[in-house]
Amino acid sequence: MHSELNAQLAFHLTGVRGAAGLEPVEGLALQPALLAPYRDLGALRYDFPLVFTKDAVRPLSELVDEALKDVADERVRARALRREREIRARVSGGLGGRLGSLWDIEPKLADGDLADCDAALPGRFVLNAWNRVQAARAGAFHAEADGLIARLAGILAADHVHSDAGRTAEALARSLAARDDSFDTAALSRLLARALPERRLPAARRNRIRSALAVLKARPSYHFVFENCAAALRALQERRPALIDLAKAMAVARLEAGGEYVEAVHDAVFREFGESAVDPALAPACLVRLDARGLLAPENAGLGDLLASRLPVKILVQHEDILDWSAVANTPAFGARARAVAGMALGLNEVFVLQSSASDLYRLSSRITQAFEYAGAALFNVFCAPYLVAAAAMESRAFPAFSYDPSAPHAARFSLENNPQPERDWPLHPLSYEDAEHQRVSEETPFTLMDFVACDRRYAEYFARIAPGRANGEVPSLPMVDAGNRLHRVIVGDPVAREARRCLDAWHSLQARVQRKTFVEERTVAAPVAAPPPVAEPEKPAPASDAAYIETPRCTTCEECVKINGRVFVYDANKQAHIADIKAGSYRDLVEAAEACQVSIIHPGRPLDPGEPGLEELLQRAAPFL
Amino acid sequence: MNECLLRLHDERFELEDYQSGVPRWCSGCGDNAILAAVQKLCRDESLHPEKTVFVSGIGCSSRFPHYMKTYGFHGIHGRALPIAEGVRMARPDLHVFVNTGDGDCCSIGAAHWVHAVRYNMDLTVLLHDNEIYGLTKKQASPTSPRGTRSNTTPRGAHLEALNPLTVTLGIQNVSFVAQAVDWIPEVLYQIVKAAFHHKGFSFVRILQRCPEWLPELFEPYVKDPRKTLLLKHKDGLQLSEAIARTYSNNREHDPASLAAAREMATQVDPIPVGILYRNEAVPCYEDLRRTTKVRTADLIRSGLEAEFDKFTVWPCTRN
Amino acid sequence: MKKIETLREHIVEVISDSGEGAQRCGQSLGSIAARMGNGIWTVEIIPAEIRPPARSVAGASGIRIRIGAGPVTNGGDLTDLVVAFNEQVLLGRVRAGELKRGCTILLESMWREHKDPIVKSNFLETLKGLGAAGYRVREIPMDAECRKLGLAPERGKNMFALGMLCSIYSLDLQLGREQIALAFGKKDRKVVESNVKLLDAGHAWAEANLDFKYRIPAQAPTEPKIVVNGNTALALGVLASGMEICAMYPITPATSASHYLADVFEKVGGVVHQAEDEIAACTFAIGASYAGKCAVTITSGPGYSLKQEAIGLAVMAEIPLVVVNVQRGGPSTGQPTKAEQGDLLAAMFGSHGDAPKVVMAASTIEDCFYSVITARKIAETFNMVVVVLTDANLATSQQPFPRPQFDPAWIAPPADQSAVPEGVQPDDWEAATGLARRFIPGQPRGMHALTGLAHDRASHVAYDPQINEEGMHFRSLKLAALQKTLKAAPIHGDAEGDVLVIGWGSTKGAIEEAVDGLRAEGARVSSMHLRFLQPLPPGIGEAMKRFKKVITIEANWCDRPGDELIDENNRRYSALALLLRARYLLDVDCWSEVKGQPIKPSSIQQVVRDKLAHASEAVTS
Repeated sequence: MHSELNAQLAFHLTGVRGAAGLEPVEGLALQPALLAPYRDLGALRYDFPLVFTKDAVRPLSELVDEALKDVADERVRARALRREREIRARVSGGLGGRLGSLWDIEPKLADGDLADCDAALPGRFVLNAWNRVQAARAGAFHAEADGLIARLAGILAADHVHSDAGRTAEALARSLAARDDSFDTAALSRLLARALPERRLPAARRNRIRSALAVLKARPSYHFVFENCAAALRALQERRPALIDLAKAMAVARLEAGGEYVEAVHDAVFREFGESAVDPALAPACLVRLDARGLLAPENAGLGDLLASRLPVKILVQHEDILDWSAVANTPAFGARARAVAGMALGLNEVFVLQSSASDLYRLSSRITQAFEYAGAALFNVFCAPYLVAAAAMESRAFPAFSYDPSAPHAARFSLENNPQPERDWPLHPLSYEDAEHQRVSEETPFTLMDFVACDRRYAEYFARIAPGRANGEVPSLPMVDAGNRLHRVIVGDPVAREARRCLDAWHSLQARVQRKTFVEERTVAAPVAAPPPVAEPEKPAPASDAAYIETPRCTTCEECVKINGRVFVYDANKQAHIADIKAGSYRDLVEAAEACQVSIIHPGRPLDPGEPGLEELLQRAAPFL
Repeated sequence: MNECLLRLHDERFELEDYQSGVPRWCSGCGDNAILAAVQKLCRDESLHPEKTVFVSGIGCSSRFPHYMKTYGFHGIHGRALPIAEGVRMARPDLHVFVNTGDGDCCSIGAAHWVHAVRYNMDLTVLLHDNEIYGLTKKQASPTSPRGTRSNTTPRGAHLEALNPLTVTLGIQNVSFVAQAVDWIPEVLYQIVKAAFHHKGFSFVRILQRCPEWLPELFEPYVKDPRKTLLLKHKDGLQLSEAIARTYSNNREHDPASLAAAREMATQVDPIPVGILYRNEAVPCYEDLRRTTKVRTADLIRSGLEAEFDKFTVWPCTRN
Repeated sequence: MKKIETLREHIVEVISDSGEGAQRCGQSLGSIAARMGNGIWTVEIIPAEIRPPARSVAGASGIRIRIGAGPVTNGGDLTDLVVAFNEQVLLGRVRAGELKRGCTILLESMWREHKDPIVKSNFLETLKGLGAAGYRVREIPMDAECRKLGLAPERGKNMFALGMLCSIYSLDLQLGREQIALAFGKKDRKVVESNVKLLDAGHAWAEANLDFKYRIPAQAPTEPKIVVNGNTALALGVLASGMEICAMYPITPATSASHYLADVFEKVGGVVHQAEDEIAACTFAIGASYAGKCAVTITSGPGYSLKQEAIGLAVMAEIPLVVVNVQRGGPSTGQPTKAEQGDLLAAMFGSHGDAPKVVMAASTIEDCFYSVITARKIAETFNMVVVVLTDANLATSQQPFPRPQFDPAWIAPPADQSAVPEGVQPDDWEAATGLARRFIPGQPRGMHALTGLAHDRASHVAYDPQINEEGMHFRSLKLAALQKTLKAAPIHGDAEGDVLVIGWGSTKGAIEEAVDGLRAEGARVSSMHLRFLQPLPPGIGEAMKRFKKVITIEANWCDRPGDELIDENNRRYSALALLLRARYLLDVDCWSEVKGQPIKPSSIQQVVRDKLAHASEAVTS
């Protein structure tokens, strides 16, 4: 008994498979027990194959379901589903092609290219999304540019009509459509020249408009997709000046079209016009598609420069192998390169980062679009492998999915939502089997990095099969099944176990990024959001009734008081009356104004000059207004 | 980017920038208060005078454009609305206001009024309602209360007054209806401001004193704040403390409810003041009609040639 | 092989109950002839009611096509050949006196066998009557022949008739087929095919069964031509003028122009606004013009009356505006679907006070197109209202004219938004011409209140007597300024002679044809046709003095000198005659007809012959 444990420990620590009861796994075609149900993918309906139709990318299964939505006839349904299965099998067998050529049955489906989850997929998928976003963006931009061209041309046209050139006999004859010779256009030309002397736009403005027009009309359209950083960087450098000119022309055009251009102000601005002023619509966007294996020193630096450029450059890095070996030491460094790339991007804080397995790209379509719409740089870190491997990589946290959106409020920037059971360390799944006593057993089983590695023949040496029921807590072990679906226990060597611990630690730090959420939220909540209430009239102490005053805010600008005495009663900046200089008039003025006031807001108070004639009577009249 | 460029010279305006000439209205006339409120609005919204147009018909109220240092069009009796509609259709970039009176809008121009509500074009319409013809020297108007003695109704107006609020609220596509009184300037200003910001046909009936012909008409309301019912709501009028203190008679009214608005509109005493109804969802006629196409000579050429093609007989090649 | 008679011209009518497609048949015939190189003029025959009872005399619906060897400029005189789908509608035309004596009638024969004895007897009776009256009646089994093809006659008769007419006038049947493809192109192939079948059948039937056949020589056309009626030409003109807003209210016979415009205007970014009434239509257009490009409003007599006050505003405020008046019979509701030239004086002098505006009249279909472009340019150059007069005759007639070559210069430039120079006033009337450059909202430093009240150069309301006179003075001067840029109206015929006929508007074709006829007979007659009525072009007075007699031919009322009560002290003259007499102090006579029908060349010839008879005494001057 004891010796058995020792043997297992020995294998775990040294990899030596000496003692009995430890069998190599080579040749047993074992695979993690949890993957058993997926042995025949063809029989399952899942996101693949994808169909690249004219205006969208959709899983074949979705297209079929939509088409069958209102189909009652069971035979038709069955036939369609059978055909779907055949196509899936065909595609996963490496044969692509057009859906149209394979789907010659009712109900009709939108045609498009079929694609399986493979190394080519991410590049293709991302490019497709990119083209759609760019098309929309370019459309909007060109629409505005064309509108501006028309408006600027219109300004020049209007100017031309008032110019002598626009009023020659010939020009008038044309615009009068005077074919029937009823006009003496020469006479008309003379008459207009005399009656309405030429009035042109200032030359400076005309030239400004002309040059903006020229730039807008000659605006370039670029190729935007690159396969390496160096080429992208070069192109961005070359295009900068032209794009700045274009941005400048657009800005000038917008101002001129609205008649908002003020030379005193804007001339200076446009003299200093540079990068900072380029609006996102015009920034030199581009898409770079890289293979992680190509990310050696210079390219790596280029990648850094691009990501740090703050331009809307969108970079796809494709990883075909994440169970790679350390470049220096002779030890595994699983997922290290992928983490390094993602880490660099996250470190820059302003880069939109999206990491995912190829298997889940479709689910992330909207995120991908967001990344393209984001004004700054974006990185797509993608593991591309056959569907099952790709999916397992994510399931096992070997290549977790996450997204970081700098444009979102802090609380919502980082997300792990696309991972299975993101709150757990490892996702748990029920594993049910029949034990030696033919009893049905079901236990919650985690799917870990070790399971993922166990799928990879290259690392078979780190696994050893042990007899049923011989597992013990000291040595990590996995349930695996053979082709006959018989359950086996497999213990795991320490190097793989260690990678699993690293992997888990990395996963925890990702989770920690999400944890921050709560704390950030508290902060934002703390900040007041309610709009301030409408400004209230400052509470004036009711003046002693012997000083004259006006309730100015209630004044209706009715002119009565200012007509009685325009020096005593004066309008303020809001055209409402107040007493400007009480000495400029008599008490009689005050009383008469009080009487005349439409809204009775003038209060004459007590007379200043006790000697004023007729005070007796005035005081009586003033009484109601005190 | 452009926004900040514009902000660079975002001019500050003073009341004087919108004042033109000395109003020829009688002293004490409520039109002065409306003028002050509108000039204040222009200043506070920094409306560019050259991009602002006041269209009016005929009557005391319709002198308004002459006192604004903006563009103005003092038209003919009753036709302010269709003129303004033409301006709006031709020029999306302008701020268009309409000043009209109870005779101008509710009598000779009534047909245009009804249809203008239905078009729901983006206009700010101020109905200066003094319930009498002023410029033609005291004849009963459609909104004169029954019994109003005037030169054409020496023994008192024979009919019940027409209620511009219920009429407007009864028309399909109505999108903004408010009532103000000239003698509460702060509230008048707030309402005019809300009307200006509403995208669509914003109709503001302003009860306006005519000290010359009907000095008594609104006297009790001016004197007794209890006879004014202020309608407050988070989406409507918000009362300053001072106003709430003077006009304690106020209640909540949600401008979103047409039924409630119609109910409220029937009230005449106390006078309901505030935003009775607002519906931003009603589409504007000009937006439904105006093209998004860029109107270039080439567009016209191609359109014209396409039409010519339909009607062209080509010389036949056969003899 | 039957002998083919060669003709100089022929007038053909196709008459049916409305809805039987006679008009399509006639229009196709016109187009085919036009493509062959014949001159054509087609006039729709429209019953007053929308759906008159079938087989009713009043219900005659159809079309009249005048086909000529040379150019055709008007509807001509009496009809030479009629295709009638039933004898009742035919009677309508007979009683209207539109058919030439001995004219050929191709009459649907099905009624002879009709089960309803009354229908049957009506048919036979009419047939007898027509025969007695000397018409050459041929009964045609159109209905039966269509059935033979298994096609519904009520749909297809018209194309069968077209086939017959192609045979009768030796027209190229292939052109006929192409025409059908064009006309039904929108519908599916089957429709085209069955119609072509009918066409061929009609042609074959006529070849086999009719013993007469004509040819109207044609010179093969060299340039593409447009075939549209005056209202469509008008709408095309609006498109071409670059105007962006047309405000209108439905009224006959103007509306069809707006119907067509409504269909196409949006494609070039324009808007047709159907206003709540005529006044709103006019003021809406004024508002649009004030704030941007010149706008247009299209109407007919009654609507024009309603717009008068608004037009006065546009005059006073000097806002460019184009008003089209497609004249109809008046006063009041008058004859909505019939032609008249009754609005000339209203157009000139309408609105209260002195309201000087430009008035021009289109005299051909082509003119309807170009006049709008010209009007727009004048309106914006002089800041004036320009009234364009056409009438129901032009509105519903078709005459091919050369396909216009679009010129970008036709298009109204966008509103001027440049800053106004310091010190310039909104109404800076130039002393000699009264011209001033208007300020458009959006122009910095141009702010002012435009007003319909008397105003000074700053546009300030002013009751000061001098200022009021100044305004009147300058608004009037602009007409003189425009007049100085007009050329003398050309004279058709010799520059001197016995009688000078003067006309305006849609009568041009008929007058000139009549004059040509008389001159061919050796008469010393010439004519002058006016495009501008206000201001009048120079040279009219001199021209008139070179003739012994001057007479205007117009389609508006003038008292008949023959009437017992009528003498020189009370005779009411036709509009143009009145104007000419007043301006030139010459004894200008007039002759007019207000039957609602286009004036016929033959009637004009008769009038002028009478005039020539008394052409001995010289013109008093």
